[in-house]
Amino acid sequence: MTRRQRVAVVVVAVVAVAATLAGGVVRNLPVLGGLALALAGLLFVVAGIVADARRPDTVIGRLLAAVGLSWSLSAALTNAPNRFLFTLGLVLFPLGLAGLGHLALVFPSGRASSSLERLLVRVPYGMALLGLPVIDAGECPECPGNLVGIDIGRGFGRAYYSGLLVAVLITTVAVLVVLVRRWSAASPVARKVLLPVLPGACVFAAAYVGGLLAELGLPSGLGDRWAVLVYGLLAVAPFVLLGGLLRARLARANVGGLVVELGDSSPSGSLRESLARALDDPTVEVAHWVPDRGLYVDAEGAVVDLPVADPRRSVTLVERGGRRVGALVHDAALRDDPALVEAVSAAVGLAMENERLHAEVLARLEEVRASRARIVQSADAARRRVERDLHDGAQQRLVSVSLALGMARASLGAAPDGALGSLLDQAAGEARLALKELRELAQGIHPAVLTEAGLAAALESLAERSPVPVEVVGVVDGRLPAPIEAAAYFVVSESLVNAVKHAGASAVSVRLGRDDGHLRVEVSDDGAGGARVLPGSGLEGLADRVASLDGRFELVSGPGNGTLVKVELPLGEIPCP
Amino acid sequence: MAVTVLIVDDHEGFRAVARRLLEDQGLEVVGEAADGAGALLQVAALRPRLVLLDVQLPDTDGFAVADRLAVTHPETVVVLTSVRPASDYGARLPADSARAFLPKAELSGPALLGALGAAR
Repeated sequence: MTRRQRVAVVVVAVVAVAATLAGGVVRNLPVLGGLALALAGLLFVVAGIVADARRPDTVIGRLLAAVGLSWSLSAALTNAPNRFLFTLGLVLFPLGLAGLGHLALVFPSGRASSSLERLLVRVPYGMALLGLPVIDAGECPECPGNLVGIDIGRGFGRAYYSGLLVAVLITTVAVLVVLVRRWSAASPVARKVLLPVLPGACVFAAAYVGGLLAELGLPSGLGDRWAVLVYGLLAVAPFVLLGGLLRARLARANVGGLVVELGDSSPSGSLRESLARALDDPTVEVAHWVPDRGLYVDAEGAVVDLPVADPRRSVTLVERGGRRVGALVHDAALRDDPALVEAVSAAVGLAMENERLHAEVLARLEEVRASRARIVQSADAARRRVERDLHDGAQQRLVSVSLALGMARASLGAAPDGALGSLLDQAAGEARLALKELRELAQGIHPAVLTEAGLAAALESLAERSPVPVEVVGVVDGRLPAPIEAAAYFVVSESLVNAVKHAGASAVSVRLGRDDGHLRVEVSDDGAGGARVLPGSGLEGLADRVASLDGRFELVSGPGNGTLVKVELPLGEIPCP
Repeated sequence: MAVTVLIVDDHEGFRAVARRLLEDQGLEVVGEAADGAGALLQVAALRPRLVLLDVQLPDTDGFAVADRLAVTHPETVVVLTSVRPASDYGARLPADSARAFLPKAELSGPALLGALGAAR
């Protein structure tokens, strides 16, 4: 309905209420019953307009307004002096009742879901028209009378009336059965949507059945009081329907909360919980679309198969900028509120896109970390190769030269042949020195002992060659992955060099330990302290090397308090050589 | 009778110098091998009293060859040698009487015979 149509409907209903009152007063008719009906109609109209504004996608709002309008007009027209208008007023009341049944059957989607339901929607309208001749015009001598009215006191009229009552009874019972079955088959989520309306409609239909039984003179328990109950329930009906609609509005307000919640960059996984709250559906599932693999996965990366032919589950695709981001799998009852699901999936699109970008950034970071580790390891491998080349080439040849010189000197025999002998001695000495320097050079590039014998032997050899006493505490049994051994070794050797060269330490202590999958190395000295990790320094190189293995590097070096280097290296994923 | 020696080293230059050095000092070099496989064949064929065995070999390492010889020819004394000092090999050099270590730079007939003496 447009805004203008809504205003017009309300104006007509208000005018009908006024006309009921005025007509009754002017023509001196009993106004109370008519006024109650007109006001109840107005309530339905207002509820219908609110419903239509909230849910223009379903026929519910318009149907409510139509029911209300028909009752308001029924009240007003049965006060009219004209016989045709009076008769029209008479038939509008049962037509409104048929509309009420229609409402109960199609709430909340506005569509009948089976051919039986479609039949039960239509039949009462026909019965309302067929019933016009037997509608009781009431004890009203002033009224113009029913244009097509027949006497129901006897003969054909009596039979027609009774037959119609039985038909209405059967139809109402059928509606009641359909409503009860719908309720018992509904999922918990669906029941939340149906809660005030469907059970209310069942009670109303049951009361109506009771009233019909009483009218037919059959045992019905309450006798004439059924009529009071039916009209009482009728007065409550618009409030029940409005209540149901307000619940829907509250659900919509959840979408606003969801948008705020998702904006809070909540950790992955809570997206599902936020959604469950917003949709009031604890069974909701979030499926992320993986374009590379052409399938959906959940937050843990497990493949999700979207339900295809499950009447209780429904799928809403989530798109963003025309691209598929994922899908929500939820209770089929939520299909009755497509606007809510649409709003939620729009809000979720942003969050899912964020989740995907977050995952991508993490993957990139992982790539960078892996490549950093590879760079360090390939540098180590290159140094090992250089050391090996020196060993296999220059060092071997120099040893042979040195031995040959020794033999040449020896072949001169005991007779010291002046110049040649001393020349050979000098050459042998130079060769020995060159060999020693070359060995130290190779050692500095990459210690052979680390490759050959492992960390423990390498540290022992470091301690032996150190100019200051080095105490090594703790043992690491067996071999560790090469990058770990190299990192631990260089931490100790670099710290030793710093302790001796820069801090003037007189003693150094090395502590080794292995626990919870970590190798811990601590090097402390009694030197001057005040060491800092400066750009391009050896300590920075150590920190980088440790970081490349996801380790922890700590430097404690207050001036005058010595220096402590603490390193923790995870032994996890790196394979042993 | 002179002590027989087999020299195992992949460096031809070193083998030549070592052969001369040892022969000059009264040992009998009965053969040479350039790798681990050759060493095992030569020991079986020549039955030397002593094997001068380089740690670094192209096909395997001296430790593996020494382990094998200790089983097949327990009477043969193995002297491992390397450009590197013994400390570079740490615990891989057990204090085993049938397996001495001599840095290449210190190679001499008396040093080899000393190792042989220790083995007896």
